[in-house]
Amino acid sequence: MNNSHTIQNIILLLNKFWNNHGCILMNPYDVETGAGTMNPMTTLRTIGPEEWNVAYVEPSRRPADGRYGENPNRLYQHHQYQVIMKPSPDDVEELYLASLEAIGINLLEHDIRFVEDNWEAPTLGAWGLGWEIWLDGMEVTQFTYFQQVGGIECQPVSAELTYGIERIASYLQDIDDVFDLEYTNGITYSSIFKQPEFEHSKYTFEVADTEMMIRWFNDYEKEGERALAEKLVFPAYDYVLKCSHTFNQLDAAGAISVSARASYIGRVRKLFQKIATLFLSERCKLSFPLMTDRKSAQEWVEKLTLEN
Amino acid sequence: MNTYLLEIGLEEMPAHMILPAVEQLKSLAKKTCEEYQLSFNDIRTFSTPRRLAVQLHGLPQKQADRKIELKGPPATIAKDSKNNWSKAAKGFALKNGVSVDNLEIREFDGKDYLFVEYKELGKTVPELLQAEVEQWISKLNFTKNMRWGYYKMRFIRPIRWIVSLWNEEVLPVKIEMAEGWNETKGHRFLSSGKSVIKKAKEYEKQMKSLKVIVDFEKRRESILSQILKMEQKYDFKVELEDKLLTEVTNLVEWPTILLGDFEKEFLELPSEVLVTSMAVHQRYFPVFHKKEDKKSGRGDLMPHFVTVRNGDDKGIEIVKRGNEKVLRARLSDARFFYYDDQKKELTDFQTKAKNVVFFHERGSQAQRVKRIAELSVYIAQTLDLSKTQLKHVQRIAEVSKFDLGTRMIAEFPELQGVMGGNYAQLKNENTLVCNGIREHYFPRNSKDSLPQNLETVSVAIADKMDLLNTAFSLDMIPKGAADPFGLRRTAQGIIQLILGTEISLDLYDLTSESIRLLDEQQKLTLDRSKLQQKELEFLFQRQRWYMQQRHIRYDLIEAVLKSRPSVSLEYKASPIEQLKLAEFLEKHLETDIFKRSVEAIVRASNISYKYPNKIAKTVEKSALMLKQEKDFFTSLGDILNPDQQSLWNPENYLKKLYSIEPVVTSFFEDVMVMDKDPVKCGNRLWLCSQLAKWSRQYLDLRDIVFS
Repeated sequence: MNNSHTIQNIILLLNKFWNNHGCILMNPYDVETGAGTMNPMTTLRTIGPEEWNVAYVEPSRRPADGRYGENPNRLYQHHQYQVIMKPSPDDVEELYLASLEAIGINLLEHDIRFVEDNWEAPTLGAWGLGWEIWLDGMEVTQFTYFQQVGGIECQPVSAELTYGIERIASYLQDIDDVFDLEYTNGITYSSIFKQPEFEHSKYTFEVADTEMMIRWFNDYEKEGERALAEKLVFPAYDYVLKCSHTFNQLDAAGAISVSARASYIGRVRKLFQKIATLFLSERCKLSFPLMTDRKSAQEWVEKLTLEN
Repeated sequence: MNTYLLEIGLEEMPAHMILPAVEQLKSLAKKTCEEYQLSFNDIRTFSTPRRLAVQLHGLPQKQADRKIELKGPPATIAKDSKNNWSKAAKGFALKNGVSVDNLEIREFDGKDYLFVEYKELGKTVPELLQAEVEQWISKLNFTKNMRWGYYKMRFIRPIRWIVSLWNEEVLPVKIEMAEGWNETKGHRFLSSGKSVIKKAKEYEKQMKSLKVIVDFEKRRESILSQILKMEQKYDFKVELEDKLLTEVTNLVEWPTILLGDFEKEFLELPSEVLVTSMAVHQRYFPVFHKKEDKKSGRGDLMPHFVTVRNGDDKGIEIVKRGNEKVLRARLSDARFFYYDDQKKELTDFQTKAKNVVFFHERGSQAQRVKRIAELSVYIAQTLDLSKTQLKHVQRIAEVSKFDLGTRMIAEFPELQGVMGGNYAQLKNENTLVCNGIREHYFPRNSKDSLPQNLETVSVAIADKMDLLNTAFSLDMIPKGAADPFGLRRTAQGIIQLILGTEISLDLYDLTSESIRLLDEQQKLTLDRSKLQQKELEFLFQRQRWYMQQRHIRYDLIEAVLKSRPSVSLEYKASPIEQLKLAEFLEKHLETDIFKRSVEAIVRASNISYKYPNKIAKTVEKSALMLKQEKDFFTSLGDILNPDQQSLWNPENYLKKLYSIEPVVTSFFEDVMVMDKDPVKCGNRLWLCSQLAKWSRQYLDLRDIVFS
């Protein structure tokens, strides 16, 4: 085993790489998320004119993909490495490819393809265009230019890179079963995650009190609205995440019919769109402090104030 | 002779959009040449995932000079009293930038005018192109555009560089994020950095040295010849579906093929699962034994695949292993689902369907299946199918959707029907039923085949009709380009089924029955006639399309679509009879006798539709005094002969039309229809209206337009 290809080392190398390219290194969010995109460091920060370059690992919960730790490819919780570059730099593709080299992939010895894939997140009122990146036929990264978030046009546009860490590691370690991966030297993926995978799956499919969760969903939604009414963007957004995760649990447990599904998604989107709009206006009140070009910041403030 | 080259360098474009984009670029370039009367010997286009290019050969250096002649004010005000040029004349010369010496008087339309003639010098071509090329780029049109960075421009994918060369010189063009220069980028991995294109005409050759085959056809040829060699070496057959080959060609700049393998055990999976995993999910070409099976027309699948790598053969073993690993994971999943699904009975899936909502407020999937079954049997009865056939129809419909509840379909939705047929076979269902489950989705597009028997055709129509009806009942009617449920394709499928199998099925009856079933099952109290009207219009639209594909004249299509075969019914519409009538009449349309007949019928129609209240309820025979009236009455009796009336027969129609034409023509020549006497008038209108109604059973001749 080439121990430079452990999951831990891949993460370290990516951190080092993106640190060298001016990203803020952040941490996973402390509320359940279904993807790195859901972390407010992405959802909220890609809205509005402020520059923002960030990288972080996001343990992502997908209750419907839980397989009791028995499937070699499916996990209740997998790990994404998320990079946001806003505005998207002109050489963003080259940067991405350089990051693959940085984790030990010799580009000349592999087949790397950019295959069209358009991304849409109905719960976020968000969409973008981009690709799945294939490494010898395996999808290892989602690459998206955000066009809209929370129903708001992205200006400027962010580039989002989402690496599937387990997939890349299983490729580099030449392993077929995700549980056989080496997390760090001498520690397998299985020894850390097998038990939680089993328990979360059992909980999701057999134990979860879905009636109670439906109540939770309603309460989270209500509390989110209350926080919103007080103009508290980030607390309100936490309830979007709560709603979203609860919905995913319910959906996985088969407690939501096809038609009800659309209405749950619609409720989350509605709440989020209001939060997105509020985020923009609150940042505007602060004169977009993250913008380096202060003159342009002032123009944005004037423009947005006029529009309202 | 000069060559101009434009290359737009991009991030990877979606494969299916590349060829249409470069076609657009070509026609924009051609249009510029036409507009400025620039001759050229040849125009070539090049495209890869990362570039769109156009190359014009044999352009002149300069546009041809043009003689310009301009008319000015009348000669009467051109000279002053001393016979010198007047102020007006001087002004005219000044305005056109010529000296007064160039002014002359010429006659125009019988009067003298001031004229100026001068030669406009042609502009140089580079100068002209410079302004145009920016337009080419901004005019390229894509279905889905994006923005990137801070830029405002929308394009298919980010533009990263522009090469604009007039022979060996840079022709500066400028767009928001790039300036035309002479630097391109070669293959992403096999070349590095920027490279200068030295000569516009050597673009293709130079790109080849940068490991990019810029000509789509040559890339395709390269893949094909590599595959041919491999086929000869291993003595097998690689299935090259054209659409996949085009897509793959548009995913690479330097193709190198490789042969991958998978474990023989996976061959126990249905071949459709294997082919879908390879071709659809992974863009691999499946490999077959050369020896063909007589029934399927191809050999058995072999445990190999061919994939095209974007690069050369360095590390090709690693690439091969990686691809094999991905396919193995997919097939392992599929195999797990395949055996897991088989542990259940068909009834288990049918029970599950009760809890799956089809459309909000339109019941469950199980209820939908029940409606499909009832409508299928109704259609089959209309087609006079036997009792045994009806039993099969019932069974196909009942099990038509069970596979939607299987895990395999959750993972491979494109295999709906195929897996159903396969699983049903394993559960020892009748073969006809198994094929029916698979084929009731046919036709899935305008070129797809139709189900092989009328049992399945009945279910196929019922399935589509129920979807259309359910969506329409919720007012989900396609508008513009948006058609999320594929309802246009669905309606088209119904028309293709009816006309392709030449069955006599009335759209009025079909929609009416479908609406009744839904309304009663879901207790909806729908506005049935309004809903039906919308559905019929939608179906007619597709029928028009189908008939246009058969090259039937547009006016004739309109005319037959307005047929009313039975006088007693408000509306009736049987596509196959309408099609046959149109195809028959087409041959006679431009003959003199047909034209005269149309004129006669149209006159009768117009006048009787104009005065509906003056038409006699029944004819007053004693008041038919004139010979022309009597002849009309007698001839009408002949054509309305009740034995014949019920038969829809285009040849009979034409024969009768021709037989009554002279009588009607002479009637209109000699008889005044709108007589003061209400009895006479009523009688004459009655004759006209009967004739109009008779003809309208077939078509509305008022729509026919003669050339």
